[in-house]
Amino acid sequence: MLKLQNISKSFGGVQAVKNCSFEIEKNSITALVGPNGAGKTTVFNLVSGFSNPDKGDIFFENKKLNHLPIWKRSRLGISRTFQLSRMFRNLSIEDNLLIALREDDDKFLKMFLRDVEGDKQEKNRIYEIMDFVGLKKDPKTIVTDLSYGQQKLFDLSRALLNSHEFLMLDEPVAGVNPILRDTFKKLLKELKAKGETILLIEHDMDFVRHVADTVIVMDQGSVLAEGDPEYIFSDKKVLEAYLGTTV
Amino acid sequence: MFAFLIYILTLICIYSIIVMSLNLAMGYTGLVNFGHIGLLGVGAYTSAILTTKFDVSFIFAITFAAILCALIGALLSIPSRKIKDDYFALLTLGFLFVSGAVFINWTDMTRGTLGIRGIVRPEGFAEPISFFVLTFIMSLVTFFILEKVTNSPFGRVLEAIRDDEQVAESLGKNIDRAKMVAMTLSGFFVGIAGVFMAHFIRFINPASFWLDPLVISLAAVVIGGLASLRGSILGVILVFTISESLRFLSLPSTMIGPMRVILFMIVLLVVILFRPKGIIGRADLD
Repeated sequence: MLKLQNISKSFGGVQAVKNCSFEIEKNSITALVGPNGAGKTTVFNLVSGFSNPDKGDIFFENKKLNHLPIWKRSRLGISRTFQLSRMFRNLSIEDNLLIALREDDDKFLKMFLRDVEGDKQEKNRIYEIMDFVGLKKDPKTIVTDLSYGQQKLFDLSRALLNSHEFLMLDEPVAGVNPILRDTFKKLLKELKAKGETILLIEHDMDFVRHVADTVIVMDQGSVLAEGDPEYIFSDKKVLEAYLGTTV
Repeated sequence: MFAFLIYILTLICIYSIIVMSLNLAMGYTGLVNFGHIGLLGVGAYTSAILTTKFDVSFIFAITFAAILCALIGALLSIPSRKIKDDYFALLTLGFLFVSGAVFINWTDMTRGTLGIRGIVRPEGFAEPISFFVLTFIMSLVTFFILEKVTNSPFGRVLEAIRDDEQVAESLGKNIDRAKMVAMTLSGFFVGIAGVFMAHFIRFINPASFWLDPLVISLAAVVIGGLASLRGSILGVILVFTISESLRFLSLPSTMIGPMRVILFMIVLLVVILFRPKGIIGRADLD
């Protein structure tokens, strides 16, 4: 589904990603792990179009993504979350999610075509997703009133409502309590069962071990190792990269 | 007294159009456009030149001026693809200076600093009261159209762009096109306001479209509230009430101008400190 071929990206004198290549299979959960500064979020930004590679190619469903604007990549089916929640902070949960759900609302002339039944269905879809992820909050609440954990659930809801084939979750359980972390584990497994393809960045290795089919380890901008969780977490190179010494 | 009241009410209606259209770009879309008053001037000068030099009808002049300002608004939105936030505001301030320079130096058309006199009101609306009614209807039409835009899903996308345009784009929104539509509409309506201004005052010169109307408009947007059309109207009413009430104090005429500025600044400071969203705004100033 997603293929990165020898991707490189530098910021000034810092090489954030160096000849990075990997593939993501359909209907799988892949975890991108590695120490801070390994280039994981840069890879996310390169795939979603927030920045463009200096070298190499990115393919999504055999279509080359290089230099496509962010919104076109989203319309091809790439949906993502961010390490720190980024919300439309002056709007309600409902409005935020409606923006994610609607596909043609950036077309000015469409506003003259009012579809009351469609509006109702869209709102129901939003309530359904909020219910699915367990975001128990009045949809009219302004998003800045959400707690940290609720923001993480909101992020997932928005990414799910944005029409997609491929989900990219940037540290979905970073800083959340153990109960919410377990909820996320369950949710991701359910999503996979529904046919979703997910790439996630995560530092919580127990979480990764539980949810991921494949783990890709990055270090200093390159792929250090790739394989199933059991193999990866017994790999000496990986332990060295993470702990600075072999165990 | 009645004539003065009609004069103030007409100005309030014209400024309501100016401020609502500024709020569409600034409050809803997050594009701080200091060039808005330059566009007001383009609308006013276009209509003044067309009606006084080329003797065209008011309807033709207002249509032409509004379309021209809409096109300039669309062009002004193009740099916003690369130039963001404060830098975009500075760029639009540049447009205000350029338009001012054109009004001063294109003397064949604008008569430079002498300005254009003898701009007539449209047929059937020559009397202050009938012109006020026409202006009032136009400001209502502007309100309802912009209300329709801002309450639509498209308006919601504009607000998303204001809050975080990268995230809006990552949700599949063509933000460049949406910003261009917002600036086009904003330009269209301020162009209309410019025409009304020219035909109301009946005399325009470059000073009419300089920093004073910009300060009044920005103060009205901030006081009334960002992302609120009703707030824009309320802001204009408050600004004019403050400004004009000074006339009734027995102050020397040389003090009225500075007192006005001091009062504006006090009100702005109080609003920013205690109601950062303005009186009935929906977005903060951050």
